[in-house]
Amino acid sequence: MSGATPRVVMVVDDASLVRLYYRSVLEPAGYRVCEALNGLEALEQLVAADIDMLIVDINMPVMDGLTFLRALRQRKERFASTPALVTSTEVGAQDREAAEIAGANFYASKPVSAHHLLEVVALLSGHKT
Amino acid sequence: MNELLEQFLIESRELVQQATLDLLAIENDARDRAKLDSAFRSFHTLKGGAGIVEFPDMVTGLHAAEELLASARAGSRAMNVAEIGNCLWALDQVTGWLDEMEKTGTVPIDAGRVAEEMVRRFQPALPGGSDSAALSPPDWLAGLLAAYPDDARQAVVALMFQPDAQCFFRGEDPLALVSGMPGLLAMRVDEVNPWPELDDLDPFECNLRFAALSSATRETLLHHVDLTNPSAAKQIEIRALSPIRLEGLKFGPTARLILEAQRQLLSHEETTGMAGRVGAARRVVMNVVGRYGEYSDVAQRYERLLAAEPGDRQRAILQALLTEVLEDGQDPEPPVDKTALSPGDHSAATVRSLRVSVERIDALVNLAGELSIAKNALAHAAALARGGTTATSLAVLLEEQQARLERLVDQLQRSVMNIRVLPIRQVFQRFQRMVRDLATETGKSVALVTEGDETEADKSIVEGLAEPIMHVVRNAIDHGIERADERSQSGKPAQATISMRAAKAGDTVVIEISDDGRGVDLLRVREVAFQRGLISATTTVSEDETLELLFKPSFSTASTVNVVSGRGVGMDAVRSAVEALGGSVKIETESGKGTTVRFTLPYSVLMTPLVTVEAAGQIFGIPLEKVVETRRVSAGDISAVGEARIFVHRGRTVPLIDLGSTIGEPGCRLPMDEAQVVVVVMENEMCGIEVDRVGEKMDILMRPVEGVLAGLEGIAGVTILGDGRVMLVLDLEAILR
Repeated sequence: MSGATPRVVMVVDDASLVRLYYRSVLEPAGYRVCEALNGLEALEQLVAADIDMLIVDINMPVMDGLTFLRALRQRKERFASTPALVTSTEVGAQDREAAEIAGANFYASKPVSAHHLLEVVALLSGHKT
Repeated sequence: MNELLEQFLIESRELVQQATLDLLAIENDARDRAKLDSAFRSFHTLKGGAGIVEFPDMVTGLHAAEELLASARAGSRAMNVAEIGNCLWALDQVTGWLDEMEKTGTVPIDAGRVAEEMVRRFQPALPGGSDSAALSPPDWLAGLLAAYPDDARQAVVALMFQPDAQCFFRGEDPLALVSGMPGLLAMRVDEVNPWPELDDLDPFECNLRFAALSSATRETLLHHVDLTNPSAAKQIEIRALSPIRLEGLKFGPTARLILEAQRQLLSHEETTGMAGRVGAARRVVMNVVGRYGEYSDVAQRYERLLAAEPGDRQRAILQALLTEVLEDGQDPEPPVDKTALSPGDHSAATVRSLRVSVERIDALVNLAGELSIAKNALAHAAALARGGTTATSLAVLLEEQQARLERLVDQLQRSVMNIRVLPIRQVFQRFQRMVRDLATETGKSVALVTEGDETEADKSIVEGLAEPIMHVVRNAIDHGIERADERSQSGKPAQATISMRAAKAGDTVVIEISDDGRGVDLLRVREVAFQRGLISATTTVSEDETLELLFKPSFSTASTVNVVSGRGVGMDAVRSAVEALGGSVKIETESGKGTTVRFTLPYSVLMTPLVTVEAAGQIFGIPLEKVVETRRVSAGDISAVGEARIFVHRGRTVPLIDLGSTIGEPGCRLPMDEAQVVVVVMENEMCGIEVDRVGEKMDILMRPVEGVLAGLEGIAGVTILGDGRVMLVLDLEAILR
């Protein structure tokens, strides 16, 4: 929990532009960013790496965001409780609820402004400014 | 008692036990770093726990002990025997507090004196602490804040006040000055200079320094000091503390939104991945709360608290916290902590708890599942019967199910008994400390070796073993074991060994306590028995019979202690304690080689709950399941109907029977204004039993009636009380007939 160690955020999104955007906002603010292209890749990486927080897109090939979250929360390992921010282009209350039921900690609709993103990520990951 | 306190008691006892073992190991080998680290951690965790249950005196006392251990860890200097003794003493005090908390369900309020003594004992050993004790400026502030972390968060100012040494001659009362301070949150008193020997002490000189935390402002305090004691203002130091406030929690709008989302997340009754969701919500809540610098310690307290709780409790605690934070926006104090101090929570004060392994609970859960399947099969049979199945085929089905149920119920019974089972280690462990202390007291060198610690027995047996084992160990050290020089002369190792062994044998558990001392002097035992009139001069007594004499109550008197070089003290007490547990005791001895005391105990017991009553000068037990209530009936409300007496109980006419005259001698009771009555119910009929006094409720192991009492009507069984008395358990059916 000390401010010295940077928080590690994993971006799970199939769109390279989106991943680049998150990276460009978060890295200058002192985060370490790693990437996964879909839910399955994210699960594989979580087993090996120590991740402080996830940013998860809903619509992805191979394994979508909600399936990934459901699978994640059922894991026995510690990483099952990794805080997760779900983002999606859909703006309906339905999507928000579906994300919650799947086990998301917070929901933001795309596009997420840099300012808002930094605020939310700092709170969810416990980043010390 | 609330769960937090319960958990604290369980853990603290384990920590005390662990720390004791570590300290004893350090005493043997002062360079044992691992044990030193472990002891330090135990003290540290104990202190942390005390902070969580808001027991500042324990925090203060243990902090001092922890400092000592920390300095021993940091430096190359090894702890000396006196320091280890102080640490063990501190653990004794903690055990005393824990006992009190277990009884009252609250934190002791008068622990300050002991805590001060603890601080005092540990002060001189601290490096550089020989002259000015912990609170000398500028350390006083840090020490004060560390000792009262919770008060420190509410405090506005800290005050240090060192009265003039001659202040008593001016009629001043510094204690009244400080304790009457407005907004006082915490106070500690330290000596300015180390206390001199009692003979050199000048009781008229003030050697005290006060340090206090207050929620009042600096101005208010100065005003108070000026009014009460103008001359004191000169030696007073007041420091403003950083304005950390718990009130007016200022979570930003995004933080509130995120916390709200966690509440939502926790509210979904989705069964899959619940642990993961609760864990994720917990991490986010802690991250959000912890980001507000002033709440990071609150977040850490919560983390510790939650980590100890099972998943569903975590969820409930988080939900309570979120509701509080979001709806009041005020106080992120753990809600459970509040209940710890709420009055009226003492009702369930002495909750007895038991740690049960998950496997055993799982076994029960599985059985419960199988039982409900068996139940469904009965419904199926009923449906078949309704559909007109033949009686024969129905009977086959029912017999099958009956056999299945029988097997399950049998398993259930065994599983339930297994839950009450504890490892003997729990009782053996305590003796490491006792053997050390007794050996030191008597100037002998004794090592304790245990074997079969993992052997299990019923909780009541494991707990009941401590006392008889203690008697036996005491005897062994006092009488059985020789002094080192005597041992060397007879070619034995200078250090004596007491070994405790436990083993399971069929349905019984065997406990053996052996020493390698001089053994029981059978000749002397016979002599003493003769002097006490237990045997006649002409009787020939075998070795076994001689050893049996040791268990006679009249044998174990104080005057024989010095005569008999071996056993003698309280062996009758040992026997009655072991028999009360349903076991038996045997002694084996070999002259010059040592003595072995063997307890044979049942592995499990079924306890009968009963209430004790006194009548005709005797004590009786009435099975609790028959008792409706106990009450007083005034003499005027009892009317005679022929030979019998009746009274009205809850609108019903109930016969009244005098237990004394039924079982003892008739008419031995003096007429009284009120009758003490136990109302019992038998086959739906109520009946009042008049007794002299109603005693306590207890769980006993009932034994069948043997010997001269065997033919007696109205006695269901006997039990042996803790003090060795025999109590008859009443057979109410027979009495009321």
